[in-house]
Amino acid sequence: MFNYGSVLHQPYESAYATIRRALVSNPGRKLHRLKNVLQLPNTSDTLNKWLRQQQSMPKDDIPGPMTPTRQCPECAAACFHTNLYTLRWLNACPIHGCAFRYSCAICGRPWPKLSELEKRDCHGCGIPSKDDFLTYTLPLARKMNTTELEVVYSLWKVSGKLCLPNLRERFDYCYDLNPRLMWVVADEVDELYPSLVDHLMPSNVVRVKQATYRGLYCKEANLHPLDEDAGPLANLTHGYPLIKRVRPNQDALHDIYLVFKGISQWLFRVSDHRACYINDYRNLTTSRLSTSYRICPICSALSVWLFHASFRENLNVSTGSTESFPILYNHGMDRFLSLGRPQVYFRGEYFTYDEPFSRWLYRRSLMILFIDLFKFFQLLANIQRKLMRTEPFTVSRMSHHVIRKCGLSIHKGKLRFLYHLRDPLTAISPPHSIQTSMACKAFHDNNAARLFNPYLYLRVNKNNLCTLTEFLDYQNSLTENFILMCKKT
Amino acid sequence: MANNSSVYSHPIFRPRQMPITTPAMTLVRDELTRCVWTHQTGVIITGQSRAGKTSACRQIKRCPILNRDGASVPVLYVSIRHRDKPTIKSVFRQLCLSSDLKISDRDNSDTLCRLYFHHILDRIHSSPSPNVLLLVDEFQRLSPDQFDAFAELYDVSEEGDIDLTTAFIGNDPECRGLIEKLESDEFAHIYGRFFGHWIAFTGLVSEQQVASCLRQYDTLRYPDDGPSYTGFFLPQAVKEGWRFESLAPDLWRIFSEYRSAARITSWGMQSFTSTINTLLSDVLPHCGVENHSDEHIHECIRISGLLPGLVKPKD
Repeated sequence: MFNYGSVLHQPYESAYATIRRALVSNPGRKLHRLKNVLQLPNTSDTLNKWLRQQQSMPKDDIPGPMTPTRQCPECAAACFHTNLYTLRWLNACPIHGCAFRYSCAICGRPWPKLSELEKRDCHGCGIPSKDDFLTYTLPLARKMNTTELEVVYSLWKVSGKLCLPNLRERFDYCYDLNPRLMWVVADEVDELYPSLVDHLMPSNVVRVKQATYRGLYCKEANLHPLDEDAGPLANLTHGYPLIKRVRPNQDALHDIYLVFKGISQWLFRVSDHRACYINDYRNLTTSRLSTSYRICPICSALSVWLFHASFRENLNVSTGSTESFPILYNHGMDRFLSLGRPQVYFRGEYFTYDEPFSRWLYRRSLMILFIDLFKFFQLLANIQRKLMRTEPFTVSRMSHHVIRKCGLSIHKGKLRFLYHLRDPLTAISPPHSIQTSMACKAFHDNNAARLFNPYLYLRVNKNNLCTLTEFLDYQNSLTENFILMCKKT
Repeated sequence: MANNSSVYSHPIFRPRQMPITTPAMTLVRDELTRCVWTHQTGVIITGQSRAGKTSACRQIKRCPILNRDGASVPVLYVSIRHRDKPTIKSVFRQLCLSSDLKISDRDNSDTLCRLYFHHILDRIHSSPSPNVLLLVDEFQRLSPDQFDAFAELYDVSEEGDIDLTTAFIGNDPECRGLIEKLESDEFAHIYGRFFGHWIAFTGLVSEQQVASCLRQYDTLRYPDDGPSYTGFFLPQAVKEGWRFESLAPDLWRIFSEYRSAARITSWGMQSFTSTINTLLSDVLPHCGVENHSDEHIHECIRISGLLPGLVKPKD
C-alpha cells in the first residue's frame, strides 16, 4: 500500500498530476517503485487503471501530453495540472487568473517530464521538501477551487473544435490584454450563440408559478388570435407576424437611434475607446482577416449591428447579399432577428401581440443582438490567429445568462414576458481588454481599400456622439448605396 | 442448541469479535471523544494486563468515535514491539508498517515521518474535520527517547493544520517506571504534551457491572435475526423465562472470594469472558440452569486462567 495524496487531488487533474501527487505523498519512493508496488511489470494497464480510478474523468477524455508544455505556476505549486490547460483558446488559468508559463516560476527550468519529476526538489514543479510542502503546497492545495474548470470542461465538451491541443503556437506574440480579463472574455463569448434566439423564442409557453419568477421584471402584452377573422390587429396584418408589418418610419429610426446611442454611450463609458469606426463588414471572412491587424470587437460588433438594424428597419430587407455576413455565417452566428417571429402558440392556436410590446421586445432584442455580436467578435479577436480556418465552430444551443431567467406565461388572455435584467448590457463583462483606438484605426485603414465600402463609413467619437441628424443622413447614404447595389445586380 | 456445524461459528467461540461492551470500554470511548472534541494532544490509558484495553482499541477502530460534526474520526492503531535498538526510526517504521505502507531499509526517520504524515493526510482527506486519533498500544515497550517520534509527528500535523490526538495504552504496573522517567525535567515536553490526561482502565469491579455484561448475552443475537446468545445455547431455559443476568449475584459472590484472597481489584475481561463462555457453552447446557452449583462456577473461573495469573513469587 502507498499513499495516494488524496489531499492534493482535484477534479479534472491530468495523469501527470496524479502521478506527481503520488510521488509527493510517498517521499523516498521512486517512480519505478510505485510501479512495482502496483505490480506493474512494465507500465501495464494496472497503472492506467489506477489513474482512471484516481482521476475524476476518463483518462482519455481530454488528450494531453504526459509532459505539460504550459502550466499555471500557482496550480503547479499545488501539485495540480489538467489537460484543459492545453486548450489554446484558454489564455490564463481559470482558477488563479495567472498567465500560463512554459517554465517553472521558482526554479526557471522547463516543466519536468515524468521521469524527471523525482529528481526535482523544487516546490514549484517537482517534489517539495517537508517544509515546503507544509508551507506552500498543502495550503495552496486546500485553497484550490476548481469550480471554474467545470465551465471550461463543459465548453470544451460542447465546442471541441475550439481545442487545438496539437497546434504549434505559431503566433506566440504577447497579448496586450489583461490575462484575467481574457479569461472572462473567453468564458462569456462561448455562451453567446443562441441567446438571441432564446430571448425571442423562450421555451414553450407554460403556466409558471409566480414564485419562480419572483424578483423578475414583467412586461404585459395583449394577445390577439392570429386569425383573419379574429381581432382587429390580425386583420390589419393579414395574419402575418406583426414585426414584419412594422413599416420603417421616422419613429422607428428614432428608436434605433436611441438604442444605438445607448450602446455607444455604454461602450465609451466602460472601455477606453475614444472613437468607433463603423463600416461594412459584409466582405470580411475568416481567411481574409489580416494577420497583422487585429479586429476590434467594439467597432466590428457595432458596425454589423448597425447594418442589420438599418437594413431591417430602414430598408426592410433581410435576405440576399445585402445582409450576408460570411464571417458570421461560417461560424454559426447567422441568426439575426429574422428568427424572432412575434407569435405565440398556445393551446392549439397562434396569437400575436400588440404593437407597443412588439416594438419594446424588438428594441430589447436589438440590444441582445449587439451583445451576441460583441461577444462573437471578442472571441474572434482572441483567437484571430489561432482559429481553425477549415472548419466552422460547432454551434450548440446553450443558455446565456442574459436570458436565463426569461420566460413567457399567459394569464387571463394576456402575455407576460418575464425577464431578469432591465438593461441587458449590464450582464456582460466590461470590455477593458479591447485594443486601443489607434489599433482600430490601423485595422480600418488597412482594410479600407480591399474590404470596406467607403460610402458606408461612419466615425463615432466619444466626445461627439452621432446626432440624430447625422444618423438620419447616414441612413440615407445607406439607402442610396443599397439602390446602387440593386442597380448593379 | 443449534446443530454442530453452526455452533462453532458463534461469536462466543471467537472472543475477539464479541461485541460485549464493558463499562470501562464505554469510559474509554467517552474520554477519548472528549479529548478529540477538546483538541487534546495526548492521553494515556493504563490498566492491568488482560483487562480488555486492546479490545477497547479494537472496538474504537471498528466503530470510530465521532467528532462534533458527527463524522467518524480516522483512527490509526499501532502496537509497539520490542526491537533490538530502541530508536526513533524504529517507531516510525512500526507506524508505517502498522498501516501497511511499503518501506525500505534505507529510509531514514525523516522520510518515514513524512510518509506516515502523508498517510494521515490521506486518511483525513475524506473527513470533514481535521481530527485524527492515533492509538499506541503497549507503550510500556517504548524508551523515553522514542516518544520524540510522536512529538515530531504531532508537530508536523500541527503545521499541516491537523488535530492529532495520541492515546498511549499500556500495562500497569509495567509502565510505571517509564512514566516516572518521563516525569523528569528532561522529558517535560513529552510529559506535558501527552500525559496530561490519565484514564485508569479496569476490569469489572461490581456486581452491577457483571450484570450489565450478562445482560448483553441476553440481548445480543446471533445471527442477527436469530436467538440471543443465551437462547442459542439454552433455548429451553430462555423459553421458560430464565435469563443469564440472574447469575450475576452468584458470579460476583464467588469471584469476590478470589478477590479478597488474592487482593485483586477487578475482574479482567479476558478471564471474565472465558468464564462466562465456558459456563454458557459447556457447563449450563449439560447440567441445566436449575442444577448448576457454585462448584461449576469455581471450575469455570479456574479454567479461565484467573488463578495462575494471580500467582506471584514470594517477596
